[in-house]
Amino acid sequence: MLRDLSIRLRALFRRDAVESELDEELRYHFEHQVEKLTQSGLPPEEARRRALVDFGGTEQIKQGCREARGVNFVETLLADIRYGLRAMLRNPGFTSVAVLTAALGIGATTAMFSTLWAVALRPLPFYRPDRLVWIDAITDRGQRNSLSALDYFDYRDSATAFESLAARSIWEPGKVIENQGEPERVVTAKVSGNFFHTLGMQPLYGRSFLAAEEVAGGPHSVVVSYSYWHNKLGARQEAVGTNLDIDDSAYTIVGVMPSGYDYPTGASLWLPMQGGGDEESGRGNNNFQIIGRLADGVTLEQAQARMNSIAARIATQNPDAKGGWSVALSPLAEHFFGKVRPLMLMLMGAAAFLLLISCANLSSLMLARVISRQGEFALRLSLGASTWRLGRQLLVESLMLTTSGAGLGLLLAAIGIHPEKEFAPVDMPQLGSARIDGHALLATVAATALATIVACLAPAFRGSSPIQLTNLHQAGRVTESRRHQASRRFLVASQIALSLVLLVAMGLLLRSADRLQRADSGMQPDHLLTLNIQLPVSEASPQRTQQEYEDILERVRALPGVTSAAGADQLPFFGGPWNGVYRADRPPQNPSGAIPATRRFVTEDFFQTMGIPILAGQGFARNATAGSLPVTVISRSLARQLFPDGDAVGKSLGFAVPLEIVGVAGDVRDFGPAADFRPAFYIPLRQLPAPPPSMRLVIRSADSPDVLVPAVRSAIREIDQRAPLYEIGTMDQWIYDSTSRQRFTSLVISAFAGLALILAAVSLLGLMSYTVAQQMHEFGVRMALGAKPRDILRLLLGRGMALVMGGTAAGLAAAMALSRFLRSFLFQISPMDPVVFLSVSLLLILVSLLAIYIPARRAMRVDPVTALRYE
Amino acid sequence: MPKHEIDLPQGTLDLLILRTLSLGALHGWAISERIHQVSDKVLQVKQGSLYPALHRMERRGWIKAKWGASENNRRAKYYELTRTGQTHLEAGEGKWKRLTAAVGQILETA
Repeated sequence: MLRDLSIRLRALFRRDAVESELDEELRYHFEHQVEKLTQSGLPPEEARRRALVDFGGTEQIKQGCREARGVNFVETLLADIRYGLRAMLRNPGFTSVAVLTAALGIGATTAMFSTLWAVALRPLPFYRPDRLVWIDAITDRGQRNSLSALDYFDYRDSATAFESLAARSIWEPGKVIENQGEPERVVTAKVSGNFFHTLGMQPLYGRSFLAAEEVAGGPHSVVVSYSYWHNKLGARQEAVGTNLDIDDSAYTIVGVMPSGYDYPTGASLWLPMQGGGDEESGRGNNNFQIIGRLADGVTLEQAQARMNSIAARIATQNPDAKGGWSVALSPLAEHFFGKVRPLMLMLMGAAAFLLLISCANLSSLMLARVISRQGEFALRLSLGASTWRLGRQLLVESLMLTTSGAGLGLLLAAIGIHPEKEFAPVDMPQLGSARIDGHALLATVAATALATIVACLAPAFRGSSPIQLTNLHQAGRVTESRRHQASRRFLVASQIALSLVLLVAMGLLLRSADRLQRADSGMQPDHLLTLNIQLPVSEASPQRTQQEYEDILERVRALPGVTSAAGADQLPFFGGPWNGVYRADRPPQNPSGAIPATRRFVTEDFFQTMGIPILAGQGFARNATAGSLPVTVISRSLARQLFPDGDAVGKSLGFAVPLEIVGVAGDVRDFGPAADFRPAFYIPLRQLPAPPPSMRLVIRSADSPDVLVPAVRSAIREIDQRAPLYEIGTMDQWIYDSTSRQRFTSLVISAFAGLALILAAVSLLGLMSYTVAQQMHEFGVRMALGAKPRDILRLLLGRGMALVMGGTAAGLAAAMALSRFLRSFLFQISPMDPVVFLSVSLLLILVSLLAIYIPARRAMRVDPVTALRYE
Repeated sequence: MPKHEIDLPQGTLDLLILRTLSLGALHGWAISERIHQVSDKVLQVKQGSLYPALHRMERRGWIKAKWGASENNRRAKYYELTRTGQTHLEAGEGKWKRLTAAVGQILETA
């Protein structure tokens, strides 16, 4: 082996020495031969001549020896590359189209994969995330739910399958911290003491919570996020150990988490669960979610089995709150990525379609290229090149095209990722971290390999390798065999089919986005300003806070440009808590017989301000108080469910206390524009014993609501200098943001479909131009025999459209088979929507007609005399 | 100069060269001459086959080459058998004898 290598290396690097030795060796042989012939009596001239004849081609012997020495795979490769480079430069048109085609497909794949990786594949930023498990409760109705703190303590104390079991709050009121005189609301999470330990995360400075801090009445301690520490605490390490005034009580900062740690997402403060707070009391107070780290050697199934028995015990011990409940374990990554993964995979699939189209295009280009170089190949064959060598030349040339394409594609991906982030859905912040890294490069390499193979496939694999059909007789005149022609037509037709699939996806998503934008939200979202206000809880007595809200609303209403103003604990579109309700005259046998309905506490002006119609009865009167008869307004869908055959107004709704139904309001999409209408009921804020800790104000303006913000802010500050104001925005903007995912999806798919259409059209144009150039002579003859340009056009259109129609039909069939995968991304539109299928087919056919017409025009204008000479 | 030349079966040339070299180091021309003579002028190895075969076997380590002075005091490239080549030759000879014996038997009896 060593000798083999040394000979090969010598052949490569000491090439001249090896060559001259070879020369010398052969010359020695030749001279010996001449000498021998001379001795046998031939005259020297004749001996020389005969020896030469005998010897055959010296060059061929040398070539044989070089190959025998294993000479130089690398050297011939370099030669191939040089040769390929010359061929590429000789044909800049072909080269740029091929490189650009490859770049589009490879670039799209790379960009999409880096997005997929960032959003849905990358490992979670915790220690050994594969061992982390998310634990959902399953209610007696079979729905996923969170759990109470008491449940968590039971699981934690009995679980054996876990190294540790931690909990986090799903909702914790924002805390108010004064920062340079201005009160701020800070997003906070409440976690179990072992929470960070379970995730395997160490604080950057300080420590995480101690056991003593986890008990009721324990010391007030807080862990802060890196960005809070950095932006608000001056990034000083000494901040650890100092006090922070949270909601007017002193908390000791015990730790700072490292930068990049962001879980529960968005939190700036973490407080320990202390088993005493309201949100931690009671079996029915399901404000916590459990995360566990599996013990060594325990599988998810084993853990599930052990947790099942604990769940069963809790269910029997607490039949009222937890009867019939169970738990479901899933990998934490599943919880994080499960929802976005289908969307991202769909987008990745679309990128793969684009890649396939560009591969087909590349293949068809290569095929045309090989055919036009038949003469050259024939010449090289007759000069002694082996077919293997020619095949390798082909491979090297395609590889050069695709790698150049990959380089350009990487550039396109790096650029294209910016607008992609620009349009990133508001609920997909991880997309911001997408970048062209090692993982993306792997996708690039895979895409490039695929493109290279496919590019060589058609020329090499169609059973008609250039070598077989080539001979020197034909070489002067380039001809295209029927089979080649057929392969190219097939490749172009498949591009048309593939791009039609993308076009259908684009049509469906655009139509769906349009529907979504126009969907009746059940209210009038224009000219609405909304903001959140949080009055410090510990400071005010309930009545005073209530009065303060009233005063604020009164002041805001009086502002010029404000038509009306109202308050609510939660606004439609932002979701909200629900309760089980029923007809007071027909109480259900068990809790699951009640109808879950969204519950909102609202002021009297709420319906008028939001533009929600009162369909029957009336809204709330101004004189309702905590002492007067409890009343409610219910939504139309709730009224229909409870009173299918009669008037709901005047009846009584079963809730914690019976509520008299004074009116029926129109339905509102409570959970965003794509959500269904759900039953809802409204209760006057004034009838509550205490106001909610925070309130959303909604203000209807005559003009643009944005300009009101400063005036509203100062009006509120006249009443309360300390209440934090946050989430200020127009209702239109909230709605727009809530559809950002749909918009992002249709944008990406439209970009891919547009590129696909262009690629297919260019490919068709190339094929038709080629056909026209090939048959100029024939057209000339036809014209000379009396054919009109119209006839030529008809002929070419017939040929081109046969292919387009075939591609379209195949594409439609594929789209019909595939579009059902889009169903979950569509809003109020069928995946088989005939309008979409018809209109994108028409679009494709129109573009194809253009791509055929451009080259056909040249054929129509041909001068018969010139064409006849065209040979 | 009519010759009754026979095309050599695949791999046989290597065997002939190795056998020829087993008597001592020779240069290319001498190898072809020796084969020609020993085979009673039946086998004529063409340069186009001889040299690639020599270079291939050199690469494989069956023979090694060195430059030396020839009979008429010129620089010539001599090839000699290596130990690997020797082993290969013996294996090849055995195989060849079995093959010819078997083929002969069939041709005589069948």
